[in-house]
Order: sequence, then structure tokens, then C-alpha cells
Amino acid sequence: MKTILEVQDLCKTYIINKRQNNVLRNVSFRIGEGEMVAVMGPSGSGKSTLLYTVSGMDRMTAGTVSFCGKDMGSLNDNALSQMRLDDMGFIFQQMYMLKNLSVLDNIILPAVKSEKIRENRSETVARARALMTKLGIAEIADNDINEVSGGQLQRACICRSMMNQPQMIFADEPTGALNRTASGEVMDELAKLNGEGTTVMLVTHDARVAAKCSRVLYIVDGNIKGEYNIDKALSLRDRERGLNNWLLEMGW
Amino acid sequence: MYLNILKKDLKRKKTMNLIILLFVILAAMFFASGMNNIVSIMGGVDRFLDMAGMGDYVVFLAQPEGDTTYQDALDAADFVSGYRSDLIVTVSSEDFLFNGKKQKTFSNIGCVQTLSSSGLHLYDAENREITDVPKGKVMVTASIVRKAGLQSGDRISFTLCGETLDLEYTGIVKDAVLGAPMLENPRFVVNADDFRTLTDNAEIAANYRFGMFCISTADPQKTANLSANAQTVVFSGPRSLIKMTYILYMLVAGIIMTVSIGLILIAFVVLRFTINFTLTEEFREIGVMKAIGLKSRTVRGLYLVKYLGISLIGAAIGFFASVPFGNMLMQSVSSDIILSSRSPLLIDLLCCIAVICIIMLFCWRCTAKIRKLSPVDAVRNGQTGERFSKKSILHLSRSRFGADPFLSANDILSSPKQTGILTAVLTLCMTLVMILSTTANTLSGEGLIGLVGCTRSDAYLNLPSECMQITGGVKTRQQVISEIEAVLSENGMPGTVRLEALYSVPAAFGDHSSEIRFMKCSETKAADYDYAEGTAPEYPNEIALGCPMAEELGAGIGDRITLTVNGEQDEYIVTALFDSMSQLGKCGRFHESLSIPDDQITSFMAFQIDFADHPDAQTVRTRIDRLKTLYDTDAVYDTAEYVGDCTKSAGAVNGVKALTMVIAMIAAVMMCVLIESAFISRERSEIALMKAIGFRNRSVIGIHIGRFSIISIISALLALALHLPATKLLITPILGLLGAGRGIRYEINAPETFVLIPLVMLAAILFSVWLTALRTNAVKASDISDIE
Repeated sequence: MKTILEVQDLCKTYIINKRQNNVLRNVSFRIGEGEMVAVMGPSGSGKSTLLYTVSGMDRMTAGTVSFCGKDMGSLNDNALSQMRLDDMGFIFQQMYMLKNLSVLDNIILPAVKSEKIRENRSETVARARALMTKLGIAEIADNDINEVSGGQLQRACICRSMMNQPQMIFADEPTGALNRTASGEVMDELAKLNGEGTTVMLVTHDARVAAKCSRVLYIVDGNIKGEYNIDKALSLRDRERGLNNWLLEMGW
Repeated sequence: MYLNILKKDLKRKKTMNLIILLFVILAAMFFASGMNNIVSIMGGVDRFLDMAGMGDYVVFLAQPEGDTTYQDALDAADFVSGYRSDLIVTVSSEDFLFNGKKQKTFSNIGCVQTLSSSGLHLYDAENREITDVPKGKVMVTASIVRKAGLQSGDRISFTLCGETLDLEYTGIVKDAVLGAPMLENPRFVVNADDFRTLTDNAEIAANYRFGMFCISTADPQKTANLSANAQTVVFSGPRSLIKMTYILYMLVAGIIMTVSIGLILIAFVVLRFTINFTLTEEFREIGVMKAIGLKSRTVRGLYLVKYLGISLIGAAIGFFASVPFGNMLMQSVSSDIILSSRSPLLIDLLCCIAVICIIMLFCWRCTAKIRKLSPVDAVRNGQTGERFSKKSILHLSRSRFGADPFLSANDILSSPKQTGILTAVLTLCMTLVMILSTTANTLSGEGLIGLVGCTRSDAYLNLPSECMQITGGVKTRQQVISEIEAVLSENGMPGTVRLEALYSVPAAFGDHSSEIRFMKCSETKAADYDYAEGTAPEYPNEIALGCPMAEELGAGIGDRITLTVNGEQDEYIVTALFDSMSQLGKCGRFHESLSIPDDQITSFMAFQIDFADHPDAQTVRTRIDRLKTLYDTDAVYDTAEYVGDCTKSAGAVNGVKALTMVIAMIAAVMMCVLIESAFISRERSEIALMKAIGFRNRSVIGIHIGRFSIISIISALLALALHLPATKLLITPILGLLGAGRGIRYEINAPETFVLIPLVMLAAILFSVWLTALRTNAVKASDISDIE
């Protein structure tokens, strides 16, 4: 399997009130193309920081991160922005969207901004509508973001993250603000995208969510304490049970 | 708790609080000094006229040696309670030198006099009455000293009819009657012995000796009749007319006051915006405070304490700044007149207290929203919909714009209230500057030539010495005109010369009688002038009257006015009314064919020159420079320059324009910085989101600058559309006091109004927004995890 993201000895340190806070300490892992990897760990363990650092949203303090063969440490802010726009997709817990735009406009925004896919506006809109139809939210295209439910909004965020046909999607607790039903639907959509070849790295507290991934990284105090491969041949319930047992071993 | 919350707020909203503070300082400073200015000038001019003994009516008349007829008439009049009189010798710029140099910029007649116990009281720089001028010394009107840059010890020499008087300049004179800069008539006060050197000369006594009478009267109308019957009156007018010559001070003070009111309005807008922003941002804290049992009044008090603190500090700084600022504004005024003795500090203090009260009342009203916020608001975090109304106006999916310009335009349309407020403030700032630009340009523009009493010519030549020779009977009017035409021919620029003459004519209509200054130019048809109503006089017994004059007499078109021309009383029909700034509109016009001897002329406008070969503007300019050399004077003008010289107010308005431009720019910049800071603070999550999905810093800054660019351009267009109606609304009544009234045609300085002002404002606004927007660089994509 070809490696899409390779992390070596990644360190991230914050200085808060003149005190050094080492959030990530020599983290190393790799994610192959088409994988769906979950990062789990207790609150404050550095999960989100890891996600933001390896996706270029934040700068690392030391170590190397290579995305699609490019050393992210050597890229300037503009190049990192371009990489996030063209090659990465993002989904956040809070379903952030621009308030002054409709759902459809929010979805097409990255595509309008990017020059990666040469197409006119109507082609972009057609692609967005197709994605929305696929995720079951076609009817909310022209709604304002205050007019739709959290689950619909999170699926709209998935559509937005997919608009530029990214190499990889980074999701920070994508189901954290959703109820159980909506959470299941969103995870099904992410799993479906992964099944179609999109690599996904997600941060979650929920073993049910992580059970839909192919691998779980367990992080404690800024270090990867363990790694768990999920056998996709098992039923979801068995995968979840196996994962929970492993998590208990890890001290979850 | 109050202190802790306040400290937190002051720290978090540093920029906002600082900008509010600056606005309060500016508003308090301008309001206090503007009010002080107006009170001092309004009270000061009257007080100064009283101190000087100006009385109720002033008369200038030619008074050759021994002619005391007018004095006898005054002595005999029972309605005259007393009068002060001064003997003066008139001089033109040809007759005096400052440090051996001719004063080419002065074109008005000057008065040389000595002090007399029965004369007008004159005052020195320290407001002490001048009781003595040492022999060999001379004191000069303050405005003339300023213009000529005279220093103590400079030499001033007079040469008149063969008599020479060389004197040392020793100090300024505060002159109530001729001291206003609008008049620019120099008064030279000399020692009695030195003055006798001039008056002992028979030729001077016969041709240059005048009397100035300041009359205290119970009946100004009868006094006017009295002077109307005197044949040698050069000028007469009531106290109100003399007061009107100080109108420039009022004009400037009025503009400063208008600017201060504009600043207070902008301060209100800033406050309202800030309070609304703060309450929207802190609805959760307010909800929590209410949930734990604090009353609305207590929560409201918390916010009011902050604004009270800012108002108190701002007003205190504004108060201290208003003293030097007010003094700076009053510097030239206080050197011309003795200002009111009222305490300026008390006025400043009262104004600053008024600013605090008005601001606090406004804040009280703005914080009323706190009553509506409930504890339930505390648990709604606003992101899931409850607090939002429909926002999207434009549709990116249907737009042809790129993402950045689309987002700028959509953000503006999605916040109409905010956009409206910002647009209104920027429009107000630009309109204020444009109004002053157009006013200054109009007051020195060709369009006003009709209102100053002339028709359009290629050049205007002011030669007071030649004019005095005509009034003195040395030369005839036609002789002087022919001489000038000969000079023009000899120098290769043949042309015709016209001369607008003014005659002082006793007039009566019904119970009213007055002395009217009539204008007549034998070389220009009466039909060539503009009239507000009626038709131009066509026969010698027809006249036109200035609108204020007609109003004073109670006469209208078709009425017959009795005039005493050439010693003969006759009836003249009023055929037209016109607007004029000449004599503040209290004047009339004869038909060109009416025959009046030259010795009846009391004064002149400039010689109007029309070149025979109709040269282009460049050639006219060259010829004007040539005429300056030929006549050794700077008083040769093109039409616009001549208008500027006659109105004398364009300079003052230009000065205020520059000040207003700076203030408007500061106000606009502060408003934009404030709103941009609020945008950044409120939109942190959106900025972080945009960066997370791949927008570069440059793009985010571009979107923010784009918003302000669109709003600024809309404001500039609105200001361009509104400034002319606003000028007519605000400035026409002020210029109406000068006699301009309906006849004024505003002239826009197109490059300045359409290009320079909008561009300068736009550049200042966008630069400040760019500097503020750089703060978005500090918002990182990863900050999205820290935002609720």
C-alpha cells in the first residue's frame, strides 16, 4: 500500500505563560492510501493537535511530516494553504460554515476558490448537487445554515470537504455534536467515501465510530501508546467489542 | 466585581475603547472650542463696537478744509445723542511704502489719522486704549500688519502731493470700524504733528481730506435721511452693516461648530455600534449574570460605568485640549478685535459636561436591550440557528465573481444595518469636505463675477491712485480709461477698458429714505447684467435695485423711487431686482445712458480690460503678468482671482476646509478601524475556517479590504450626488447674509471634488483597514478548535 501520510518524530510544544507544554512527543506513524484511521485517547492527550499538525493547519515544533511525498515542514504558509485547498478535506465537530452563505454556496466555496478542477460555475454546482444527492441532503441546497439540522449540516460539511476531490480527509470528532442516529449516518457516509478510495484520518472519543475504521491509533500524553488493526471481515458489533477490549487494555 | 469585569473589558476591547475615547476627546474639544468661538465672537463684536464708541451709524464723507455742514446738521438733530468724529487723509497703495517697498497686494484705500479725544477709540495689542503715538511712529490695523508681515521697527513712508512722511512702525491698532479682514482698509495712526504735515498741504486738504462720523442715534432711519441729504457722503451705514463685515469670523466659527456636531453624531454611531456589538458578543455572560440573580439595572449599570469612565476621561482631555485649540482658532480674531470678557474656561467646562450628559443618555438608551436578554440566552451558543435570521442574499452558485469579491459583496448585503451605518458616516465625512471645497471654489470662481457687481472681462486692473484722481477732479474718468487703452496699445495688447463706478445717491420711497450706492458702467449695457426678477433698465429713468435694498425700502418692481442725482430730485422706476454681494446687496444699478458728472463718483470697481484680439487663456495670463510689471502692482487679476479678491472669504473657507479634511479623515479612519476590529473579533471562527479549507492570509485580508472598498466607493458616489444639494441647503443661507442669495451659482472644482477628495479619503480608509486587517494573520487555521 502506498503511503500517503508519513510522520516521523513529530513534536509540538506550546509556550503558555512562559511554561513549556509538550503536547506531542516524538510521534511517528504512517497512513496508507485508502486507509481509514481513527485517533483515540483521553481528553488533553493531543489528538486534535496531532490532526491539525499533520494536516498543515498548525506548524510542528520538530520532526517531519510528509504528505503525498511532500515535506510539509519545508512548505511556506501559502503552499500549505494551497495543499489544504486542493489535496485535503476537513470536517469539524462544530460544523463550521460561513453564516452569510447558503448550504450550497458553502459547499462549492473551496471549488470556486481552487483552480485544481477546470470547470465553469454551473459544472461546479452540478457536482455539488450530485454530492448532496449522494449524501441525501439535496433538498437543503438553497437553505441557510440556520434552517437545517446538525446531521444535515455535518453531511454538508462532508460534501464541502469532498468538492476538490482531496487525497485525504481529516475529521476532528465529526460526530461529536450529533445524536446517535445522525452520528451513524455521518459515519456511514465517511465509510462509503473511504470505500471509494478516499483516505480518512479522524479523531474520536466514540468506539462505535472508531470501529468503522481500519486502524486505531491510541495516544496518551502526546505519545502513540498503541495501534489496533480492525478486521473488517468481522461484524460491526464484534469489531466494536474487540476495540473496546483493546482500549481497556490501553487504560481507556 | 465591577472593577474586575471592567478591567477585563478594557483589556479585551482595547481598540474599540480607545477609538470611543478618541471620538469623545475630539467631540468635546471641537464642541467646547466651537461654542466658545461663537459666544466670544457674537458677544465680542458688539462689545468691541461699544468700547470703540462706534454708536449706531457710521458716515464717511469728503470734508475739504473748513466744511462743517454735516457736523452742524448732526448738532442740530434732536435724535442724535452724540457722535465721535475723526479727520482722516485717504491714501492709496501708490502713496505709501513699507520698508521702501510698494505694497502691491493692497488695492483698498487707506486712512491716515491722528488720535483725537472726540474720535473713535482705538486699541493696541494688549487691549489698552491708544492715547498717544510718539512723533515719528505709526500704528497700523492688525489684519494689514499680518498680511504685510510688518515687524516692530519697520519703516513706513507716505508721499502725497509732494509731502513725505517717514515713520517707524510701532504696533497694531484694533479698529472697530475698518478692522475686519473683509474690508482690508489700512488705518495708519500717527502723531498729531506728523499728521499736520499732511493736512497743512492745501492740495491734500482739498482732495484727500475726509471725515469719519460714528453717530449714536435714537432713530437710525432719520440719521440715514440726514446723511442721504449730504452731498459729499462716500459711505454710510448702520451698525448692523459694520457688524456684517465680521461675518467671516462667524462663518469660520459656524463651520467649526458644524464639524463638532458632525463629530458628536459620529461618536453616537460609534457608541451604538460598539454597544450593540458588545451586547451581541456577551449575551451569554449577561444571561449568566441574570441567571445568578443580578437585576437588569445592575447589569446595565456595569456597562454604563465603563462608558461613563470613558466619557469622563475623554471629556477631561477634550477640555484641556480645547483651551489651546480654541486659542489657536481665535488667534487672528483676537488680534483684530477685543473679545468678550466671558470666562472661556466656564464655557469649555459646560460644553464638556454637556457632551458627557448627551453621551450617557445615549448609552442609557442603547443598553436598553439588556432588559430583553434572559438567562435562556446563556445556554444558546448561537451556532445552531436560534439566533440567526436569513443571511444569504447573493448566491455564489449563480454568480460569475470569484470567491473573494463575492464574499466581500455578500457580506455587505447580508449586514444592511451595519453597512448602512458605515456608509452614512463615510458619506457624511466626504460630503463635509466636498461642501467646503465647492464653497471655497465658488467664492473664488468666475461664476460669482455678476454678484460682485461686474461683467466678465479678460483682466481686472485695480488702480486706486487713478481712481482717486478722478474723484479728486484731477482727471476725468474717460481720460484715465483712454490712458490705459493707450498703454495697452503701446505694449502690443490693444483692448477696450471699462470702469464700473459707484455713486452715493440719496433715495426716498414712501416713509423710507436711504442712501443707496448705485453702480453704473457707461461702457456696459445694463441688460448685460443678471437680474433675479424683472427686466433690465432700458431708459435713463429706470433703475434696478439689489434685493436687500428693495426689501429695506419696501419697494418692488414698478415702484417709483425718488433719487437725488446731480442735485436734482427725480422719480426713477424700478424695473428689476438683482442679487449682489456688492454693499452686501444694499445697492442699485443705473441705466448706462444716465449722465452723471465724475465728481459724483464715490468709488470704483477695478478697470475691466477686454483684449481686442480675444486671446486664449495662456496669453491672457502672460498679459496679466505684463500689466503687473507695467503698473507696478500685484492687483491685476483674471475673473476668478478678482472674485476671490472681492469676496475675501475663500482663503478662510480654504483654511477650514483643510482642517475639516483632516478631521473627516481621522473620523472615517477611526470608524473603519473600529468596525474592522469588530469584524475580526466577531468572525474569528469564519476566518479560521476559511484558512482551514485553504484560503491564504492574503485572500482573507483581500475580502475584508474588499468590503470597505465597496462601501467607500458607494459613499463617495453618494457624497458626490449629495454634496451640491447639501451645499445649497447649508451654505446658501450663510452666503445670503453677504447678499449672494438666490443668484449664487455653485462652481465645483471637478478635479478636487471628483478625484482628489474621494481618492485621498479612499486611500486613507483602505490603508487603515489594511493595517487593521493584518491582525487576521494572527488567526490560525488550527484556532478553529478553540472557538466555541
